[in-house]
Amino acid sequence: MKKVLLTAVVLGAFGAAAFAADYGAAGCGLGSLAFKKNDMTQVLAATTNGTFGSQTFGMTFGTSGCNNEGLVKVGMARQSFIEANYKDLSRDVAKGNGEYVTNLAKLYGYTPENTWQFTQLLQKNHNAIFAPNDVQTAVNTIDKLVASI
Amino acid sequence: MLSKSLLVLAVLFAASPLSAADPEQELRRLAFRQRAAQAKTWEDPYWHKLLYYEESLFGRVRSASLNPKFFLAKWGDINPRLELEAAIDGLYYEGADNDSPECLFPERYRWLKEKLSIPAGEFPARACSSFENWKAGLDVESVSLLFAAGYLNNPSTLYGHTFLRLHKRGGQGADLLDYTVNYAATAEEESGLFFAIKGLVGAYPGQFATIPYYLKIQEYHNLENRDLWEFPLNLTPDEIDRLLRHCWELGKASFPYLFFTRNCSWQLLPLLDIAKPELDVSRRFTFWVIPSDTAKAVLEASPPAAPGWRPSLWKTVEWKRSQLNQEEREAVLGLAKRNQAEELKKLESMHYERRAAVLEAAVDYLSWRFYARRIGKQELDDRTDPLLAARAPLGQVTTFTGGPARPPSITDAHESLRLGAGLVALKNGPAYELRARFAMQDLLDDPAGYLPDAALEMGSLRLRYEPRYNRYYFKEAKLARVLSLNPWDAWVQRQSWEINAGLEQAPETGRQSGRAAVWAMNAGSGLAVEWDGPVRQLWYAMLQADSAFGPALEANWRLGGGVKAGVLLEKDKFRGLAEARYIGYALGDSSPLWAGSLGASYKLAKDSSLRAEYAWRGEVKEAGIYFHRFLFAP
Repeated sequence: MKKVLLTAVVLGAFGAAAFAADYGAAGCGLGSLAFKKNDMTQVLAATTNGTFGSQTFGMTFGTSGCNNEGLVKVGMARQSFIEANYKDLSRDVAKGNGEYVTNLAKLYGYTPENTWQFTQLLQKNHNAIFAPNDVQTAVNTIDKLVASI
Repeated sequence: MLSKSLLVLAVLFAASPLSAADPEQELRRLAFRQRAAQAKTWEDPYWHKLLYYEESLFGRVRSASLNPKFFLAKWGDINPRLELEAAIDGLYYEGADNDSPECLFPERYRWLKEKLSIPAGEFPARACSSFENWKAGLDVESVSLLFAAGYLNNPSTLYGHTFLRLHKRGGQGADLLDYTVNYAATAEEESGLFFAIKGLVGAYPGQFATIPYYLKIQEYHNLENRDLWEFPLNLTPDEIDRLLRHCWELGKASFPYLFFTRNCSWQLLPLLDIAKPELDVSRRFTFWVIPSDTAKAVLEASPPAAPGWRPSLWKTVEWKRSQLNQEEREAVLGLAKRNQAEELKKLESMHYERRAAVLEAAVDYLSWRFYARRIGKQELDDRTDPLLAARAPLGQVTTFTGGPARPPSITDAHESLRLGAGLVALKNGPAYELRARFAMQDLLDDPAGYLPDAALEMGSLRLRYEPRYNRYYFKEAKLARVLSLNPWDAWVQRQSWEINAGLEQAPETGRQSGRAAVWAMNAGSGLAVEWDGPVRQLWYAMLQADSAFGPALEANWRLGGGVKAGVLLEKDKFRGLAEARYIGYALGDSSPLWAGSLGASYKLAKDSSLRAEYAWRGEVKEAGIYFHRFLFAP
């Protein structure tokens, strides 16, 4: 019995340590790659649609949001930004400040002086932009709102 | 993509040597080749840097780049002269400008034309629209070195990561829209031991990429919950141009990715050396490369500048929590974990400004819970959407002021390599000890600039001499030890854990000193509790599984489990650690192990400390004093 208990403790402790350590492997420490990818990196990959991760400059890829040089296509800059930062943007718009909304303001051509107009416009329409939980709707709604002023 | 680059290659090879259009030009081409031959231009160190030529022990030259696209000559990877001559011939390339060697390798040609004194009017200027568009898209005004602090709860990020950030002109206030230059191994989805071994031997090629800064923030700040440090590099416009031209060339290169030497962090150094030759940092590393060390090396060679700091997601949550009262904190937990509709109703009685603060904190906390894998995407959406919908109508409200407290940066941290010497009192007389540890910290070292409440040790050696037996032996030769104490926090609820592997003496077996070496491996997990009094105390207890192998043991091995508990004390320059463990063995040598230690350290200066230790293991007791000195890795 004692042996069984001890063995259980052994396995339990190893298991727990293994679990605690198994966080995943995005990034590149000394030992990057050594551990399997987990759900979270897939979330990241999903967020970014895998469009940027494999982009190497000077090479001619042709993925949707990227140009041949591995940068985000100018015409896709707003959409890519909104897609990649959807949750953070939704949060910043709701509280009416924060870098995600001010950066987007810049992409829409606002200056630091009139960014507040953009911020307030989006905050007032938070529900219309973000409630459907769909990137394309958010992009279209913001485009429409900005054009309406 | 493939077919196009193959075409470029085919054109390059087929037309090699690229012939000039008329006899006049052909004579000029030969003259340039001759000029290069006379000056032995291919021996120029800069040429070797640009093509990553490395000399082996036997004097053979070979480029580190594995990708044939990085070379113009068929044997360019092993012969700098052939590559240089192919570059001269490349001046006469007749295809589309964008595919011309000059447009593919702008920095090589800038240098070559200068070196061979080729007059500006000799060749019509190439229209490198692809490169110019790329450069214009980046529109770089300044460059900084980014350092993502290590994060213990993910083994692949133990040591941190470095990459470059290209600041866009006039981009103040729009930080997220910049690009980064990142070097990483590219690997297919795979897992397991095979994967790790392939990684260790460099089977995965490393490549450079420009990744939008906002994605790097998602990765480090959110996903991995790490602080990001930003150190300005003060490059001049000329140096930035050189950096970009060479980056463009690197798009065609790939290097063997080696964890200890040619890793993500090291590969940035030759790039920086090319941009700013005075730095000369790539040669400072020979045996192993730790990202924080590369950051330090670059910073030492750069003019001092105040670093920027982007706190991890959890630090932001913690800071917001610190500005909430007890009732508000409860409300946040309720919104994040309990029946949200009811909790939202309760909030209505709260003043709208405080309600806004609670809603914002709850959203951030949920976001952290998502990234920490406590909840899935669906629950994240279901719980945050109503909160944001409730927050937006409250309009502009000042909710939180200030920001999280900034910890010391790596520039304040002790160096990574530690050497030490000590005097030990054993029952039967004295012993002398020399210590060496390659990286990086244990609980008694000052953690400033590294992770607090953590030990991360690689290659820790303790060599002893005992005059009584005239005997040298390793008291300890540890391969690795990682300990992460996570003070229990109701919002985080994270366990503490430890793993350990290496050679150690097991005098509890009754053998003579130095004759009881065993290979021991153990792992444990448990809880830690913090008490922040006049002396900070961190108590911890863990369940531990332990195994050992060696002739000192009956049956040559043992396997068992037990408990370990201790307390870490901190007060200014003093740190103390008391620890004890009891392990029972179910298999193999079944005599139990009862061991423990008391240690205290006093920090003398940034890179030196004194330490006193008392330890027992079975019946065997010892006490020692040690001097530790931290050094920059060789």
